[in-house]
Amino acid sequence: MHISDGILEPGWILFWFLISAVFIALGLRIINKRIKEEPSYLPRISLIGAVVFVISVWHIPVPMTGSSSHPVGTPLAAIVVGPLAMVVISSIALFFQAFVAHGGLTTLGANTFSMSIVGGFSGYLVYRLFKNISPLWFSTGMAGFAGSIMTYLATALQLALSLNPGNVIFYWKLYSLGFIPTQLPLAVAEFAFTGYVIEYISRTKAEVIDTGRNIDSFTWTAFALMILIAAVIVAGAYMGHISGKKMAGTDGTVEAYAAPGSVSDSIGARLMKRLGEPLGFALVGITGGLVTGFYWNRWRKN
Amino acid sequence: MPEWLSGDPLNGLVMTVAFFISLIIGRYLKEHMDNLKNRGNIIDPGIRLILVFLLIIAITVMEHWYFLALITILCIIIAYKIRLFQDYIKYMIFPLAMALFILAIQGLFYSTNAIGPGTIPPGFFRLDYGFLIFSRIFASASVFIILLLTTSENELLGSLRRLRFPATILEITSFMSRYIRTFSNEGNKIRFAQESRMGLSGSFFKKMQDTAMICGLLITRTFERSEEINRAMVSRGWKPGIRYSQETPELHMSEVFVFILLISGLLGIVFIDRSI
Repeated sequence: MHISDGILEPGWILFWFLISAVFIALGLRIINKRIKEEPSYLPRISLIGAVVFVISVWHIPVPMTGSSSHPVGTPLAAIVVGPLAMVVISSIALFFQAFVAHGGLTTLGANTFSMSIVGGFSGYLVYRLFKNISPLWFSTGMAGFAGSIMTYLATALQLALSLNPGNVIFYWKLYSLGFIPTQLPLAVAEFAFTGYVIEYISRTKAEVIDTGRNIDSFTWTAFALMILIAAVIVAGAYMGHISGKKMAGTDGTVEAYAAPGSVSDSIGARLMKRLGEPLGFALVGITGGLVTGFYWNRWRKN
Repeated sequence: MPEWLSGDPLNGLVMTVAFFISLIIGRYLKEHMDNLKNRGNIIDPGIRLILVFLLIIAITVMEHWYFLALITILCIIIAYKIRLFQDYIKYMIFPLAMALFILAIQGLFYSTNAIGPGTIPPGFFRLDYGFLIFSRIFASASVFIILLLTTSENELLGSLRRLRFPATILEITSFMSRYIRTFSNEGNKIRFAQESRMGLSGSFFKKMQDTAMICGLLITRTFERSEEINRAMVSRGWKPGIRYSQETPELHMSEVFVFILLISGLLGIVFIDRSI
């Protein structure tokens, strides 16, 4: 589901653009590197992007409902070209989709985040997890299913964050429930579609499928830790929510225990007040991650 | 002396000065638009893109539905005048579905904290927030659709070059824009051929297998075709990292003037909307 223009608040428009820009920059770096090594990669990735766009606007049959709808297509693209390169081509595909009024101009960042980053990466992760323990059709099918479901959960979260900042969890559930009647059957269709397409490609031209050898163990460990910690935070918040707690969040709990009664007037606190907490925390996370990653090898050697 | 003349002159002065300055600007704008119409372009596509972006941002901060309705009506009039009203309606279907979904969620569940039977009545009183979002989506979509109807893909791609987008993105975008139609036609041809051989019918899994076969075929074909394209590019002197001329048509002062004028108008509408 593409978010149309006019829904998101300007702060969130900027936030999703920033997050997506980081992933697009990383994807561009990989693409430029590959083009230098192998010049034919430029037309190849562009043509795959064009095909993925064409496929994503095609109607595929949806089970149970008897109707047809568009597949997300990003898990399929991630398996074929790799997840980071996929973010670049699918963000361009989203730009073209805006020309047929699917999505919008100001929501390009938000749609890139939900469909390419969340949908594509989660699909690819599921594919890699199941790859060695199940048949190819199942691992790729599950990638399509997970990518589709995660896309809609991310879209629902984006809507709840922007439209109902005072009651995010409740509205996240509500939007997700609203999407279920149409999107659950579509996720089943995406399962069959992705599984069959990759199965066909593996029979006719197996070398096309991205083997993912360029992702090292450091990256995988970082991804696994990210998902684990995020899952613990989400599960904790959900349990707190259903037991009727105040939802102060991890930072509120830390403040209450570590520095009770303190009033901070530092630059960081003032910036946070000005930017809004999610943007402030994202900035802190990006800075911390970049510095740690930059000096990681040097610290390890010492 | 009559009282209306001897009283406080401020309002009269403001109105007179504003009227005559606007008169001069209006006449100048008409002349400018006529000149540019002869050149085939009223406002540079890059400026149009930025303006539409800013206008949509302005719409998302507006708080009164009647200003949004005014923008929508203006867009409908433009679509009607340029004889593209049917296309406007066609493009509006998807944003309308999204707007109705949000109207339903916001209107029916506002201020409730539980999902289940009995939650609808209390939230029903906040239909106004849902309606505001609905109006924002409608107005933004209308503005964007007018941009799409009046600007070609090539013009927008050219404007991205002017806005200094990374060269690799522009190259991929140009290729995609060129080959989307080719692959779409190719896919449709294969689909028709399959249908004529009793394909794409029967159970869900059979239909899905046939659809996936077409998609897989298209993907594998891209690899052979990209090799041919690469050979053609290399034979014409292309190599990785080559940069084409960055020369872009110069921006006229009159275009800058129109841009400033429209931005001022935009800020004015937002100011009035927020101060009511």
